[in-house]
Parts: sequence; C-alpha cells; structure tokens
Amino acid sequence: MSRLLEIENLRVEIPALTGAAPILEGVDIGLDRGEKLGIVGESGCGKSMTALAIMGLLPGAARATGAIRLDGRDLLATSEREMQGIRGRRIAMVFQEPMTALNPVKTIGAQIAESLILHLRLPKAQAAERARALLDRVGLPGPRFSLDLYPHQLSGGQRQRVVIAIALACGPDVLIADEPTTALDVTIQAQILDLLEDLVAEMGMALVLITHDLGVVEETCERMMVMYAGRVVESGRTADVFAHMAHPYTRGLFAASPRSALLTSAREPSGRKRRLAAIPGQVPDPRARPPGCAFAPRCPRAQDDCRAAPPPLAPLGAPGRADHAAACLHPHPPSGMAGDVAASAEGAR
Amino acid sequence: MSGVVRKTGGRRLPAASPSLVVGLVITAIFVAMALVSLVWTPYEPTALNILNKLEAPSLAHPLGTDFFGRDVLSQIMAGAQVSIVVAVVAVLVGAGIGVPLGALAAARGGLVDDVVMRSTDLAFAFPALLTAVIITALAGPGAVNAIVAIGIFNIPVFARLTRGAALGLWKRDFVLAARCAGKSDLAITIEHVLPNCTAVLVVQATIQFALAIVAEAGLSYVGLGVQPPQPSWGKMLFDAQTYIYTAPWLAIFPGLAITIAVLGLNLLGDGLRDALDPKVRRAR
Amino acid sequence: MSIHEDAPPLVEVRDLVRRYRLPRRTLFEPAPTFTALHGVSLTLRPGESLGIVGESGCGKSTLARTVMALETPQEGSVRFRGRDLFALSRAELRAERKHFQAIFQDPYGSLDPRHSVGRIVAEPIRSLEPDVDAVARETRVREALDQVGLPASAAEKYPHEFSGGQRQRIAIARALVTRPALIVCDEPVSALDVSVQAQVLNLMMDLQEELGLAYLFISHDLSVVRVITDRVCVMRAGRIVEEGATDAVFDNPAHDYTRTLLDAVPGRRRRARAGERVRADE
Repeated sequence: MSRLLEIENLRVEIPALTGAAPILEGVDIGLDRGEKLGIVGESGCGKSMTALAIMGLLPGAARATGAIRLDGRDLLATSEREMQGIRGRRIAMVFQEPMTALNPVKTIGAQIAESLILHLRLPKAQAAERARALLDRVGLPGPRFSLDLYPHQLSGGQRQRVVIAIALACGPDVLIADEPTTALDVTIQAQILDLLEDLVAEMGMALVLITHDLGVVEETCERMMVMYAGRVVESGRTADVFAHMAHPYTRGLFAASPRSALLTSAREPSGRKRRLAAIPGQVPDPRARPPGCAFAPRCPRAQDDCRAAPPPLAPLGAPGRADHAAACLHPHPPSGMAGDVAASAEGAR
Repeated sequence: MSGVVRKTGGRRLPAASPSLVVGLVITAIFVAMALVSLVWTPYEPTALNILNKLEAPSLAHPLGTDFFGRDVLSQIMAGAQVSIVVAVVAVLVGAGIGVPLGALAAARGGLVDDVVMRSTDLAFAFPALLTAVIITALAGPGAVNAIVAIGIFNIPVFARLTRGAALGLWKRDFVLAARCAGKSDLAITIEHVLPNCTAVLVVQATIQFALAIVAEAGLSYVGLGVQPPQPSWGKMLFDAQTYIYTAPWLAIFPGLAITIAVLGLNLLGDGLRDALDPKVRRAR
Repeated sequence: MSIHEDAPPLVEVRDLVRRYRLPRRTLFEPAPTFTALHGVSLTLRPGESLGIVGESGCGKSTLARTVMALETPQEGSVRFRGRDLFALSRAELRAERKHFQAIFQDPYGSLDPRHSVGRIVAEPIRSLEPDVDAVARETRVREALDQVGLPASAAEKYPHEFSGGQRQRIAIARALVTRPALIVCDEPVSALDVSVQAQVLNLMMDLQEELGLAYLFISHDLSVVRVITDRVCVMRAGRIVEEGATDAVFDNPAHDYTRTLLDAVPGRRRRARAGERVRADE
C-alpha cells in the first residue's frame, strides 16, 4: 500500500551555486494522512530545500533526482502545468514571513478566495462564503475581521492566520509549514502552533513542519528528522529521538540551546554563569564538505572511519523503537540523555 | 567608464554578465571612435566637396556623403566627441549637485527633506526638453548652454535616487554603529552612505548618459545645440530630413549611431547593476 | 550579584518617556502620537548584566537607543557614571561615548559591506580617540580581534567573507576596541543558528568576566536572557512590569504577563501541559 507522501533517495544539486556538490542527498520521507513530521536543522542544512522540492518550486538551475510520490504519482516526473494543479490544491505551504507572503494590495478575502476559484472553480459568491468560514476557523471571526481588510490592517499573528487560511482553502492533503512561527512573538507563536495542530487533527492532512527549534518539534510532531549539511542524520518518533539522541549532532544541538537553561538556574553553585555546551566550528560550506561524515570535524566522537565515507542512515535497532535511525558510525549509547531529559522535565514544574 | 567599474568593483570583481560585456564593448567602440577622430578621420569632417555631394555609400565613402559632399563616417566620428562630452559633463553636473542634495535630504529629514523633494517635484513637473529649449533660447544656442540645460534636468533625477537609497541605508545597523562611534552625519554620509549608493548611482548615470545623448541630438536637431560647422549627430539628423527620400543614408547612419550608443549604455547599466550588487556578489 | 551592590551605579535611567509622532491621518487634525516608553526607570551597576525582555513593540529597542543617547526622550534622564547624557555638550557626549558601545541584531546589516574588517573595528577609535596614532590603533584592533577569537589576518578581509557567527564576533570586537564599561546589546544572537549562538553567548560571558563589562541585554528570547543576565526587567507596552534577579523572576514570576511569556516557550509549554494532563489523570 503506498503512503500519502513518499520521498525516496532525493538528491538535489545546483551546479551553478555549488558545483557538483549536492545541496541535498539521500533524503527519504514517508508520511501518511494525519501524521505530523518535524524537520529540524540549522540554516543551510537543506530543510527548506526539501520543502521546495516537494512543492516543485526548486530554483531553475536545480536538478533533483530520486522520487517524490504523492499517492503513488511521481511529482518529479510531473509537468509544471500539472504541478500548478497540485500546488495549493493537494500540497499547500505556509511561509515564515507573513508580511511578504500576502499581497499588500489585495483584500484578505480575495486572497483566500483566489485558490478556491482557481482550483475548485467555485463561483465568486460561494468562494466568498467559504473564505468567511475559513477565516472564522483560523480564529479571525466576523464581523471584526471582515473579508475586505487589507494585510497591513492586521498584526503579524493575524496575518499568519490568513496565510494558513489560504493554505487550507482547498483542503490539501499535505501542508508544509516552513518556520511558520519564527517571525512571531512567543505568545503568538504558541497560539499559531496550537491552531496548526488542531487543523491537522480536524482535516486529517499530513503536516511537514520545518523549524530550527527543537522545542517546537518536540511539542508538535510525533515524528522528526534532524538534518545536517544536506543529509538526514537522525530520524524516528519524536519521543524516541528525544529520549536517546543517538547522533552527536542532535545531542549537540540540544545541549547548545539555551532552552535547556530556561528550566534550571544558569549558574553554577559558585555564582559563576554556566557556559553553554557550544558545538565548536561551523557548518561546512556546501562546496567544501568533508569527504566523510559532514559533522566529523565538529564531532567529539569522531574517529578515523568517520572521515572515510558518509555513514548511511541506519536503524539503531533498539527494541520497540523500530523507526529510530541515525547516520552515525559511533552513536551515543541509549543511556544518558534519557535521564537528563527526564530530569529537566521535572525541573519544568 | 571602465575606470568606474574597476574602482567600485574592487578586488571582488565578479564574472562579467553578457550584457556587461556587450555594453562595455559598444561603449568602448564609441569612446575609441571619438578619441580617434581627434587625430584622424578618413576625411576632414568639415571639408566641403561639392563634386561628391549626396554620394551613396561606397568604398571611398563607406557611409556616403551629404549635401555638401562631407564624408558621413568622418562626421559621425567627430560627432561622437560632441555627444560624449555633452553627455559626460551634463551627467557630472546633474550628479555633482543632485547627489549631495539627495544625501542632505536623507540625512537631515524634516523640513530640509521637504524643501529638497518638493523642489525636485517642481522640476519634474516641467517637460524637460521644452525647458531646455527655453534655457538655450534665452541664453543663446551652443554646446555649453546645451550642457547646462541638460545638466539641470539631471539634478532632480540624482537627488531623488540618492535620497531613496540613502534613506534605506540610514536605517541599517552599520550606520547606527557609526553613530555609536560618535560619527557626525556628514562623516557617516561620506564614509558609509554614499559608497553604498554607488551601484545604483552608476547604473542611473549610464541611463542618464544615454538620455543626454538623445537630448543633445534633440537640441541640435532644433538648432539650439552645437553650432555649425561642428558636427553633431542631432545636427546631422536635422540636415538629413530634406533628403530622406533621395539620400536615406544621411538619416539612417546618425540615427543608428544614436540608437546603438544608447543601447550600449543601457546594457552597460544593466550589467553594472548586477556586477555592483553586493547581494549578487555575496552569493558567488 | 552581591559584589555589585555597593558600587555606584554605572547607568541610572529615570522616568524615561519617549513619544513618536505618527504621520497625520488628515490635514486638519494634529498628528497622532505613539508612546514607546511610559516612564521607564532602571539601574545598572558596573560589571552587571541586565536583561530587558519583551515582545515586539514593547519599547525595548527604543530604550536601548535612548540609553545610547541615539534618541532624545521627551522626559526623564539617563545618567552614565553620574553624568546626565542629555545635559552634556556634543563634545562631552562624544568623549563619554567611548565608555559605552553597542552590538546589534543583524550580523549582516551591522557591518558596512564596503569596508575592510580592520577599518570597521578601528572606526570607534578613529572617531572617539583621535589621539591614538595609527600604530597603536592597529595594535588595539588586533587585540580586540584576538579577544573575540579571530586571527589578526581577519583585518584584511571584508564582511562577506565571514559567516554569521564570525560577523557577530567582528561586531563585538568593534564594541570592545574602545575598552568600554558598558555594551548595549540589542538582540545580539537572535539571527544566529543555535550552535553558533551558544559560541557567541559563551564568548560574551567570558569577556564579561575578564574585562568586568556591564551588559544591557535586550532580547525577546527568554532562554537567552536567563543564560546571560544577572537581573532582568520584563517590559510590556512601554512599561517595566516586573524586575528582579534573573533566577528569581524565572523561577517565581510575580506578574501574570511574565508567567504567560514563560509558559509560551516551546518545549516548556508541552511539558507544562503534559504536567496538567498527568494531574488530570490522577
């Protein structure tokens, strides 16, 4: 039985930008209706490129190989014309910047109705009716939030709700949200995440949530992937990944985040401020990635074999955690982090 | 103009785009033509030779001769001098006054900004060429007055452009950092704002060069520009109209010269915009 | 921390009010105003790190710019080392400026792309300490680059040759070069990736310990504020709604708004909700 969205061995290269070096390599994703997948990584890790590949919106010079199947149909082999019928209709996207994602000179009602008229061929009156219902649903009820408002009359969070309404207009099967809350204040961020979660549950679509924030994934997605330098380095059920954190990069990312300090005092008993566990060095330039594991130069566990060839994403084989895989030759043993996470969860309250 | 490229591009000169190369080549050809004409032309451009008047293009006269038997190629070469000098000086006048005005408006804001900008609105409200005609009509025709007239109309163009670009830069953090370092507005303008405007200004300058060539041709065409016997492309076009059916080459070749020169400058402008864009440079 | 409490304050901000005029809506009504600061007061002691935390539009950046004397308030005063900055002459203010410097959010926007790193870092010395000769200036620039962990050769290069984290190091070097007592940091790590963010925060903590710097640290990110500050002010709509020692405010928030902010942080929120769920099950 084929899954709703299936990506197999996706590889993307942009020869003009990086030479022969791929910007994305060996990415596999399987997603069913109602599932929420988080993709985490730092800038340049390929997470946004993955989203663009699914949308068929890769930059002109990019070459993608592998397969991206939606209900068994290979999107990479689909013509641009047909993709236009799929984009917005079956796969929709929410972007980071709600200000630039909306057209400043069109009313929000017209922008929501646009795809209804285009894809579903609804008559105008009916499209407006649906637009009203959608706005109500995303938490912008009439008459306070009329269809005739313009984007500049709304706050950032309200605009992001409009963007979500537009994305949901045609009842897509897959919703891709690329850093949907990064530009928003923290209290608004929480509301938008709640809204997305409720909508996914209600409409039974699949959600791909792209973010740099481990905390967002932890509380929203049941499955997650960590990407580094164009490859997936760890994937599995969110609970398993957080309990184990097998790949040194995943663990490093978690430890480096000041988020962990939010839960406990950032001071040592002496009163000196505790330093964060920074990952030394920086993300390698895509044009000059090391031959082996791209993380090896920054990795405390790296050994000679890590520098030979990029390790494949392999199941860790922990009992009851069949999905949990890491691309690491010397992953952290399962103990350790689980205790820390539990301890910090206790510290939260 | 190639000097400008090297200076602002600095050590980070990126791979040239096709439009930059083509634009540079065309512009270089015209500059070379003007320079060569200073020391050598196939014939004396102003030499009359009634016997050979209105000759069609031939080996002896590749672009033909006019009513007085003057060689058209030689005239176009010498005319390039006038066109280039008028255009360069007019643009320098416009930029020399307009850029400081725009930078001042952006730095000071408030009333100063209002006064400068409303004045440019006023200048824009007049049809440029018509006013140039009035200026040269009042001050008398001639190359210098044509330069002044065209230059005046370049001022508001540069003032607006500089103000717009500078306003954006004044909001940037590196300007804030310079203010934290106690820099005066003038020092910030000179050290940070104007250098970062060079890309747009250089591009606009090439467009204004092109427009100035056309304007000079227009003024000379109505007899208010360069005075005979000094050849100019506009003047040649004007003289050609009587013979448009009998000797079409008289109109075609100066017209082509203007068109190609303007095209070359526009391409150069396009290419420079890409080449001087720090964002493009960063991506490479 | 107790060691600072007896020292005379480095910065004393009293009752700052900053109003902005908005564009007129019609020609006949007076222009409306927006009040960014409604009487803000705070005190910062030498070597102390004070956080200002709040959501966008709460006035925290206006506060930072006013403390830097880059904006003039309608009411209130900013005393730096006992001297009222807005009562100083231009020359006196300039002389004072070398004692307080700033770091900004955007590591791409805060460095002039057309200047070499050496020139960027030297800029505050050139303009604030004109007596320093070229040789001494170069030594100081090298010293500052070294303090932020960049090689001396970086001075020859241009900002675009560096990554985001390195650029922020350059910005910190520029702030250090006049050997200030205070650095005002406006969202200094918000634009950086997590792993780089940690490096920069660690560097800032090291520098503070080594050089006895005071930070006025503006951020919307509560986690970052907890890591680096000794005391924190929570701002909302132009007012400070809660102030206190960082650990105390984060562990036992007194104001509802502070609690709302803390509970909204991803990760913390789910755990909080999971906790509720567990309690409900019991």
